[in-house]
Formats: sequence, structure tokens, C-alpha cells
Amino acid sequence: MSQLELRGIRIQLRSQSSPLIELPELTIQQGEIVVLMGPSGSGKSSLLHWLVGDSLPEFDCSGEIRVGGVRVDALPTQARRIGLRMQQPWLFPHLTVRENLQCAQRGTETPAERARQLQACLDAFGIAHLSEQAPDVMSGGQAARVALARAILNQPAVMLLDEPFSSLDTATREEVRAWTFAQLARQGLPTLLVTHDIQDIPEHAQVIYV
Amino acid sequence: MSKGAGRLFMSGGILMLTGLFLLPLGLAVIGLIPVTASIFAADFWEFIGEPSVRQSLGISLVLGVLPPLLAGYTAFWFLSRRSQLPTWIAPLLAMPHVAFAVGMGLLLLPGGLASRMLPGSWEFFQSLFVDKSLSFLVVVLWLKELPFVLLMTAVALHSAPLKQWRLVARTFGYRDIDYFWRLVFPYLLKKLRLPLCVVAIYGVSVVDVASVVGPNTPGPLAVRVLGWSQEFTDLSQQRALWGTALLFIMGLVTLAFVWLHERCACLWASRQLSQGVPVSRRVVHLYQEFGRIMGTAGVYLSILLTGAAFFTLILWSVIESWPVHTMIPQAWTWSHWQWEWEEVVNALMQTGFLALGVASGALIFVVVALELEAKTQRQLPDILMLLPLIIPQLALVFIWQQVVGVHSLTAPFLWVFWAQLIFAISYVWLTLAATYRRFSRIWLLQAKVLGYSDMQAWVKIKLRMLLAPLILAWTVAFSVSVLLYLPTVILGAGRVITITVEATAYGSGFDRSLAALYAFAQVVLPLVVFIGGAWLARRFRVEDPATGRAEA
Repeated sequence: MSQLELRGIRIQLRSQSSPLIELPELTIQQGEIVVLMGPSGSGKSSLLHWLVGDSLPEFDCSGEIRVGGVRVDALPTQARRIGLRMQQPWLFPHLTVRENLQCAQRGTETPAERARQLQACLDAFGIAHLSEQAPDVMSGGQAARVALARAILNQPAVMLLDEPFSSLDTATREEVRAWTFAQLARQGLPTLLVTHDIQDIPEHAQVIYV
Repeated sequence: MSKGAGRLFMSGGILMLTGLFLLPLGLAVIGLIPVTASIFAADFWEFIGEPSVRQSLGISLVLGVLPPLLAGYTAFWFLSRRSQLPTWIAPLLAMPHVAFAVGMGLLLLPGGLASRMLPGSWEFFQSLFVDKSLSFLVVVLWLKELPFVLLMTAVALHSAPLKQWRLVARTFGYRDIDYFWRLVFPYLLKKLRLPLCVVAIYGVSVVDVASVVGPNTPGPLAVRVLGWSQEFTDLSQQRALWGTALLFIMGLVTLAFVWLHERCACLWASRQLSQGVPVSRRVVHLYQEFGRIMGTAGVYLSILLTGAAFFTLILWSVIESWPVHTMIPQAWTWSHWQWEWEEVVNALMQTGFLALGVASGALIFVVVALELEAKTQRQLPDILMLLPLIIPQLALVFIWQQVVGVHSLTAPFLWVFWAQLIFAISYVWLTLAATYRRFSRIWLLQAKVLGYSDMQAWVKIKLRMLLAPLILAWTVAFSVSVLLYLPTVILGAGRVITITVEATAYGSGFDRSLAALYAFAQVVLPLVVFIGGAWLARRFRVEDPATGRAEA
């Protein structure tokens, strides 16, 4: 069963003596969403980057990260099986939606199996009609959907969302937010969501203020 | 700007764009159609059946294909492992092609500086390259074009959010090397399509460098076409026309090759994505090692050899005698400089004045065209503005010569100025357009809110913020004007003597000291302007706080 366990987490700017974030213990179970909420500059995004193994040089980060019971904080990003959806969708602009999704397919299944899996993903996320489109002609909402589909197709054990709705306009944000939480619930992924917008907090989610 | 002034600017700009640039280019392309159609004549097939013509065609094809491929892959290999370019790359661009070729020849060819100064290397250099050979010409073009391709690659990489892409790819399980070749490489090829086409077309139509170090039994097609066009018999003129048609077709073939290579590479990357078969570790390791060696060796060889070639030019211009198999010259002299001083200064003055006018004219032209774009909210197609760089230069200039032939005898300086302006415009466009278009209109709005007039806002805000890239674009145009050989020699009808014309003439001759002296003199103007331009650009560079990107 996949779950994310964090122990003794401490995120601190090297130039400061007091930590920005301290999390003595946090466990996110399968299907659960935990929201980390705080103002800009409070170290939320830095925590997520450190969790995927991309710590910034100006930060001192320490603690224990376990994914599905396995300690991963010494592993490279590629081996952690932690998905990350950043503020921008960061779709590769020279690839079509289909190719963007293909680049997230893990494993060495047969080409036929990969194609079937890809089509199932396109259908399940309701983006099949976009499959041959280039990212630069898509709306913000469409790009957000493709980015989440791509992250989930990668079969991560845990999902991190770094203010994923902040680049969207108000009307689209509402719709994409509901759609995203529905997809995450369907996948049952333990999810850590970072935001500074109170509207982004889903129902029944545990909220941690930093 | 008042409505009347705005209309006047629009009409003047459109008139200038059409009259100076689009019309002559359009006429030349139309002029190339009947020339190209001449390939259907029976005589043409006899002409192309001649073994020496077929050999020349083959040489030109090699020059159109190999240098861009070698330069492109060296740049990719080098930058797949680093994000920074060595500081010494940028000044290499100021080294003119002819001066580089002369320096390389005097350095590496049999009897050159290296074979004399390195003990026991005489036989090695005798066997390494043959004087006036295709292989040496390919190496010269590869190393000379490498800094340009490297810079273009670095610019393309700089404009992409590589850090975020890499992080996304890592979370998907990609090793960094897989990420580069499967995801970044296709992106780079698309971004570098135009620069690689420019290098390919330059290879097809290169005359000056080929005259200095290229084969001559027979030479590349462009060199032979220039030769035929300067002989005034009917047969030679007919051959020049057929040769022009062939050059044009050859240009299309090499462009098709660049495109086909890009498609194949993207298809390979796409198949890798869709099939998801990881490349074996052994293959990756071998490829990584090969790429590391090739990329590093190519780039540092280019830097080292350019420096050594420059040193060779200085040295050889003051040598009086240097007997074979002796390590250092026997006698030194300033006499070459004393004899040639007046000629060199005259050529430099003429070149400098011409370049000053051409660079300023091209910059004004491009800025007006980009402002027209901003005002009409319609982008001019880049391909149109860069057309002079993707049609073989000789074909274009030869057609112009046919049209203005008689007039060029009466006002050669003016025709050379105009032809150089066309090519300089394309280079300025290539350097400036992307940065200029990226300038946010919010800055102008902000200035107007503060009470600036349209003109004040443009001069005090936009011009000031874009001053650094404008200075760099001007220095590029200046260097281009100094280096242009074909328009000067053909439309100048032998009466416009620039330093490049002189350097090419002496470089393809037998007097090593004179070749070195004129080649060194050719380096001076672009180098001084480049250093000055780089210093000024650094001084006036402004960082856009919205993007965090320095506009230079």
C-alpha cells in the first residue's frame, strides 16, 4: 500500500538560524490529501523540491522520507517514484500531447501494451481530442489537465502538487480544481498539496499551516 | 505620435521594406526561375556530364552537408553535459573566415608553422593534410562554423526552461543523458533549423575560403561559377548561368537534407518515447564517452586553433626567411608592412566606411521593420527576412549582376553598399528580432501613464532597455559587411577594394608573408568593433525584472 511518511523534516535557509518549516511527523495514507498552507516565501515549494530530490543550494534540508515504507531520501529523483505537478504545466512544447504522455510511460512493456495504456489514459482523463495538439495552442485549463494526466500516467506512488491552480484564471481554476481532486480520488494517490489560496483546500483534507 | 506622423511612418516603413529588400529579393528569385529552367536544355546535360563538373558538384554537396553536421553534433555533445559556454567562444566569431583559413593553412599544412616548430613533426603534418584539399576545407569550415552553432545552441537552450524540464523528466525516471537526447535534442534541432541551414548554404556557395584552402583540380562549384562569370566568352557566360542553376538546386538539396536529418532524428526520439525501450547501459556509456571526447575536443580545438592561427598570421607577416627544417625563422623584417602600409590603410578605410554605413543602415531598417510589426500586430515571416541567407549567395549576386551589370560600372560603391545591406539586414534580423519582439509593451504603457509622449517613451524606455542587443546587432552587421566577399567583388566590378577582397586575393596566392599580412589586417576591424561592442553592451545591459532576463 502506498503512503508517504515524513519524519523530523526541517527546511531552513542557510543564511538564517530558525527553520522555515518543521514537521516532526506526517503520514499521508492512500487516497488522502494533506494541504500545506502558508504565505509566499515560507519554504513550501522548497520542501516539495527537496522531497523529489532537487534541493536548492541556499536551503538546508534534513529528515527522513519514506514512500510505501521504503526510505528514499538518499535515492536519486528517478528512483523515488514521487510525482510532482508544478505551478506551470511544463509540457514539452515541441512534442504533441500524445508524445508528452509517452515520455512519462515507465517500464519496458511491449509497444502494443504501451499504446493501449496511453489510449486508456487519454480516454480516462477526457483529453483524447487533444492528443495530436501542440501545447502552445492549448488553453491553460487544457494544459493543466494534460500535465496531471502525464504525472499520473508515470505511475508514481505519491503525488505532490505545488500550487497547481495558481496560473489559471478564476473561472477555469474552479473547474480544473474539482476535476483534479476527482482524478486524484479515483487514483487513490497519497497527495501533498501546497498552496496559499484557501479556496484550493478540498473537503475533508488535513491542513497544516506553516 | 500623432495620427499623421504615424501614417507617415507606416507608409515610409512599408515603402522602404518593399523597395530596398522585398522587391530586389523577389526579382532575384523570379530571375532564378528561367535560369533554373535552363537545365532542361540538351546542352545542359552535356555540361553536367563532364567529369570535372560532376566532381565539383560532389565537392559542393560534401561542403553543404558535412560542416553543418559536424558543427551541430559537436555543439550538442558539448552542451549535453554543460550549461555554460567557455568565455572564449564569443570573440572567435570576430575572426573572419578568410583570415582563419589563411592562418590554418600557414599553421597546419605541410611546411606550416606547426611542422617547423614541433620537432620531428614534419612527416606527420605532411601526411595529415594535403595542400588545397577537400578534407582540409571541411575541417576549416567545421571549426570556423562551430562557435556560431555553439552560440545559437546556447541561446536556444537558454530560452528553454531546462531546469524544470529536467526535474519533470527525472521524476519520470529519466537519466540525464536519456533526457537530453530523447527530449531536448529534438527541441534543439527544431530551434537550430535556420542556423544549420545558413551553415549548409554557406558551405555550398563558399568561394573565398575555398579559394584559399580548398581543392582546385577541380574546385567547388561556386568557385568555378565565379571563374566562368568573369570570363567574357559566350560559352563561359552560358556555363556560369548553368552553374548558377546548379548552385540553386544544390542549395535546395542541402536544405532538404537538413530538414530530412531533423525529421529522422525527431522520429528516432519519438520512437524511443513510444516504445520506451531503455538503451542498454553499455551503449549509453560508449556513446557518452564518444560524445564527451568529440564535443570537448572539437570546441577546445576550435578555440586553440583560432588563437594559434591568429598568432601565425602575426608571425608570418614579419618573417623574411625561414628555411625548411629549421625551428625558428632565420630573419625578420618589417618591410612587408612598410611596402603594403598605404594599400592596407586604404583598403581598411574603404572597408570601414562601407561597414559603418551598412551596419547603421541595416540596424535602422530592421528596427523600422520590427516597429511596423509592433504597430500592425502582424509578424513578418522570419523565413522572408532570412531569405538572403538560405539562397546560395553566388546565385543571388549573379542574378543581381545580370540585372544591374551596366549600372554597376557607373556606381559600383552604391551597388556594393546596397547588396551588402541586404545580407546585413538578414544577420541583424537573426540577432535582434527575437529579443525585440519579447519586449513587453507594458513598459511603454507605464511610461505613457507617467506622462511621456510616444516618442519619449520609445527613446527613453524601449531604446534604452534594448540598447545592449541593438549594439550587439550593429557589431554583427559591421563584421558581416567587412567579411562579405562575393557582392563586393562581383557588383564592385573590381573598383571597390575592401580588405576581404585583398585578403582573399593574396591568401590564394603564393606569397605567405603577404597572405598573412592581409589576413591579419582583415581581423583588425571586426575584432576592435566586437571588443568595443561587447564592452558597451555589457555597460548598457538592462535586466527585465518581469522575466529576470538580461536583454542582450
